[in-house]
Amino acid sequence: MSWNKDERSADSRPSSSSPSSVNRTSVHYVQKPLQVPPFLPVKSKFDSEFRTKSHAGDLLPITNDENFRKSFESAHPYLRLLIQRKGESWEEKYGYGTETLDRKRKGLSMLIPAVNKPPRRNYNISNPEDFRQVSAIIDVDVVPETHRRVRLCKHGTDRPLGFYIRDGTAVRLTPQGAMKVAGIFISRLVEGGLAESTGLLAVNDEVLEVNGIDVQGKTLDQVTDMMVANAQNLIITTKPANQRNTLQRGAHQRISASTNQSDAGGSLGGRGGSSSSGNRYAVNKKSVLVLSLSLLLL
Amino acid sequence: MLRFLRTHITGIDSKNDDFEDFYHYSRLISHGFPQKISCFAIDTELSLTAFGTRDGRVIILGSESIEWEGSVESNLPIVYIYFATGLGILHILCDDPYSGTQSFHRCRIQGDSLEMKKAIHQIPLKKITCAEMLNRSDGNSALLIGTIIGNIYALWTNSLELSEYIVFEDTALKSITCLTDSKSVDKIVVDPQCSSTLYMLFNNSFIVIFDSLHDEVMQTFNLSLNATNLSLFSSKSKLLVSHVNGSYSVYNYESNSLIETKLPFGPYPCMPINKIYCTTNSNFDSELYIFSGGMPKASYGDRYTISIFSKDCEVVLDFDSRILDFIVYNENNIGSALFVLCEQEMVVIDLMDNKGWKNFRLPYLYPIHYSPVTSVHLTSSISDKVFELLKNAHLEQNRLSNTSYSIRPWPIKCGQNRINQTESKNVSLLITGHENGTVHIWRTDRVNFSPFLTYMTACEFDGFTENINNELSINDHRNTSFSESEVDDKNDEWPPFKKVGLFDPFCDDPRLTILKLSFEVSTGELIIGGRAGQAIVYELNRCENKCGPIKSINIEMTENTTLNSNSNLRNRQLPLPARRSELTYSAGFRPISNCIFQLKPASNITAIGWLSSRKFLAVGNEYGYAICDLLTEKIIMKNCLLTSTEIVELSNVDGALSRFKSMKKSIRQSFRRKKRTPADQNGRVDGTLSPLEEIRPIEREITARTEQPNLQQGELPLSLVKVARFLSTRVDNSTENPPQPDNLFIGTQGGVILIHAILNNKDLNEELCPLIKEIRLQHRAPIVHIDYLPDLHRILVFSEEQIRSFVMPLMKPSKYKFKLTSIEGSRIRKAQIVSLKSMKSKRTSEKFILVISNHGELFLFSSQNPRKYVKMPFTKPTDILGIASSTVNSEGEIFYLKSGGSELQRATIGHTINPALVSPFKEINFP
Repeated sequence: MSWNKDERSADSRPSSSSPSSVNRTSVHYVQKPLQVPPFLPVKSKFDSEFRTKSHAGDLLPITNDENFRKSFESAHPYLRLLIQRKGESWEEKYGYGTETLDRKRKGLSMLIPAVNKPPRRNYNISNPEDFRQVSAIIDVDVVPETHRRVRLCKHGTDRPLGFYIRDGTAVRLTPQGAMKVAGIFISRLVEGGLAESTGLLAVNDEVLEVNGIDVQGKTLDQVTDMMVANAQNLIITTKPANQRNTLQRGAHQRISASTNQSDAGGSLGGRGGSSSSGNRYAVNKKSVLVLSLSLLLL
Repeated sequence: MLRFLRTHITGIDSKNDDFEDFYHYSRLISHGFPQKISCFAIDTELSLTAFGTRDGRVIILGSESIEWEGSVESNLPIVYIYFATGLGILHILCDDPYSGTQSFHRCRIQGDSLEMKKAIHQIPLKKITCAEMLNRSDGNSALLIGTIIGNIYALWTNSLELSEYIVFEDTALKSITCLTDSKSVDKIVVDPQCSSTLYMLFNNSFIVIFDSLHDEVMQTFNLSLNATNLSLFSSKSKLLVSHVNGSYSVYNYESNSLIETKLPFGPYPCMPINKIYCTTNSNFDSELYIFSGGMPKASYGDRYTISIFSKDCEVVLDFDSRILDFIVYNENNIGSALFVLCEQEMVVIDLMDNKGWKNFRLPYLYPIHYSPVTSVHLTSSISDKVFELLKNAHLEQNRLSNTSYSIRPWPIKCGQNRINQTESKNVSLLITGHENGTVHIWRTDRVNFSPFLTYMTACEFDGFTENINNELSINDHRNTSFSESEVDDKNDEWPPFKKVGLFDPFCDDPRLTILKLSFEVSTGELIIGGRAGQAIVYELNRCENKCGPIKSINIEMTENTTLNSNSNLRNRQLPLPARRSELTYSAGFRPISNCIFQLKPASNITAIGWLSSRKFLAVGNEYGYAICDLLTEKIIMKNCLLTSTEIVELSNVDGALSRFKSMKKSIRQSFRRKKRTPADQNGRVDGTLSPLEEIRPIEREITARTEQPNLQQGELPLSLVKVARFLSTRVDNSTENPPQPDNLFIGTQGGVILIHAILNNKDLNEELCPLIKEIRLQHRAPIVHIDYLPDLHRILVFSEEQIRSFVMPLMKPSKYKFKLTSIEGSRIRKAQIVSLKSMKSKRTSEKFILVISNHGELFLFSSQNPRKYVKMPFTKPTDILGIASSTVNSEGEIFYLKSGGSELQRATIGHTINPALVSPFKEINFP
């Protein structure tokens, strides 16, 4: 999730570099004035939404700039975030601003079937979304745990895909034992590019498939052409160099691993560790369904 | 549903079985002049020539259409070849650059093939310094091999055994005191009359005449100057020695006396003479001395020359590429023809032609690349009518150019009587366009390529003056005649140079370059598109015709007049001025209506299309396209695909027209052109990477196709017209106009297809060629080809990345589509619908789609199901020239240029191989 509303944020919210304006607006910021960076990548996986409490009591989804700003403004003493699966919130089911009485029923009363019909509105208020999907991990149930299938969504923007690939050698396990084979690897990520912003691709990740086609035996130029041909909807299956963020380990380990980094490194014994640990999420594997999202705030 | 699926799938499966039945890829012979040629030999007894190349190929040639080809083990570079005279056996000396060793191979003609055998010997050979063939009358011939320590070995032809022939220390040779320290054998000459007498050159300075039978030193000559070569003129007991300082000496070996020493191009320092030979024939009063090199170092040291000196004449033949070797062909001990092998061509001079020094017409090894090939087009079978017209023109052209060629028959005659010159039916033509504006037409039903018809498009433009006074030669490729008067005029010039050969690496005007070629097989119309925006349509004429000045019809692609007047317009290139004088066209090609079309701005023609029934020409470049009517000589419509801002951008591509910059660029380009000989290109193609390049990891950036190509960086504008084709499709646009039989399809770089209807009514109120449909491919890849499958009512669109199809007549997208790049990682370069005959039943044929990819692969798709295809490599993925030049016809024949651009490789995807390519020696015991 990124926020790059430069002009608007400059108007409504002064940057921390000008102290006078900070004073004026710092009322909202208890403790430390929260500094909203112009470009803030926030990652969301597993089709979840970040929500924050609004004054009206509704849970505001952080899906647009306005709500994002609001959540920062109301962040005193700290920002409370609720993570909810997309489409499961009351507001999304029934619309925002509907009667919240039913919601408040608790305990036994929940078992009593509601007499009145579910609250419905004749008109629909859409949920404004400035956020756009830039990438997704897909086919989790199909792809081996050590691999990752990433969809990069270009959506017709002129933002470059922003990565380079190279030739290299990979080790494959065959019935004859470990064998060295030629492989294609990500050699470079361009800063600010689509590939980098997803956090799902990293340098030295091995490219195994492009849009479902195995790249084994293909030359670098051929793989390049395959990727370019699919640039509008590029799906790359990789074997990440850093195996920490893959779904390789069991669910019970995962939770502890996310909280205890050193433990994770030990239990893995894998290579790498260079990639930022900020992307890591503690999630029970069972809860992982098919989609996970990485959001971009425009 | 299930039943539907089952029937559907089994339907495909049944097709699967006979897919294999239709195709069989076979690489056939190649035509033209082999690159990396290194040596040649002539067998006068069987009348054969043989050529060896540095990539291990052996080519043996007899008379026209008699050819054997083979290659030595692991394609080792061939350095020398020697004929075992009369046996049909070649001895081949190969150099292995990696191990630094030399190996001998024997190559024997057996019927229509060559049998190769490597000589395996136990004797560790010292460095080989020379070799010479010892032909014995008893048929037991041997290759004599001289080494650096003075020993001579014999490699026996029949047994391929190596034995010591002369051991230096065991013979009388050891008594020669001069040869105590070093005694490398630098040249052996065998006396043709007495094979036991050897003339040996030691240390480049000492000649020994040695009788190996009696172990006797007959003569010795101590040379004061270092010698380069030795030859014998036995009828007058003369021994010729060429020297490093450009002089030669003649000794009489009978009387052991020096007859003369001459420095022919003295007195200033001269280049060494590399080889000297002496011969006689009835045309000359005295013997002829023929030698290569020896030019004055300062003034002509860089020329490649062969000088012919006799008492009554002197001539210096000047070649355009390095001379590798020359051999005088002797018929009954009379030197009748001089074979000169240069790096880029072979020239055969008639020595019997009364000092005219005329060339023989080459029946084979024609230097196709004498001016670089810039476009290649292979037609399908031409109609009989067209073939007859072409043949008529061919005979007429030969008749006219006979003055510049020797009229004697080709001296190499082996197999002459075996050729049955039956006229094959269904001749297809190969057409090549060259950098100097020449178009060559070659018959593909020939083993050897020599031009069937040649046309110089340069004669349509002003400045084509050098040959204009010699009207007869306009259809000739190069005025090689050398009239007597010219010789007289130049008599005061010394040395008396005479330019020979066709090869010419320097181009006068690159604007003449032919970029696009098309040939109408039913009517014989040839359409060309050139680098300076010229588009010309030629028709075949039966007789001579005198024509006035050429009409040039300008097509302004950019309407913006302010831009046109503005000097800011891309004026990197001006159009070629049309001819203003009269010209007599001999039988053959002539511009229709005596006019040419000139696109402005004068940039490359990128697409041409021709509708023969209406005489409509469609022509496209990077700005857009236009349709012209050749009958009314009018422009029917033009469509500029650029916005005015883009035009300005495109116009400024050449660096905001800084005059200095463009000047610098032009100079640089011309130097590059000059330097760029085919040999260089060759090296670049399969050259190894420098160590620096190897260390740097190769990486590729992944970027999506841009909507705004960076023109400044040389990216092609999306408006560039890649395809312009008239197809009889009857596209229905469901509007007021009923479907018309003919449609024009335009495909652009940006993946847009524009379809025009060609209306029949010539109502002035109505647009003749209205745009009826526009299709934008979502993936926006450049369109490569558009074709029509009439039986399936399907339009096929080939973009670089995908095959798409549309169902007629409403152009609905059809299910037949294939994303080649996504699946195979290769881009489409060429596409063609081919119709292949079944191997089982010759009568049935089926249509397939042949695609050539940028990685040198051929894809053959079933026309029913795109998922059913086969892939086969036809050339290396790095062979850019081969892939770019490849051309396919509807019968599945493939031609492409081999690296170096001097040879055309031929292949076929069908089972049927042209019967003309079968050797007459097939299943015949030869020799």
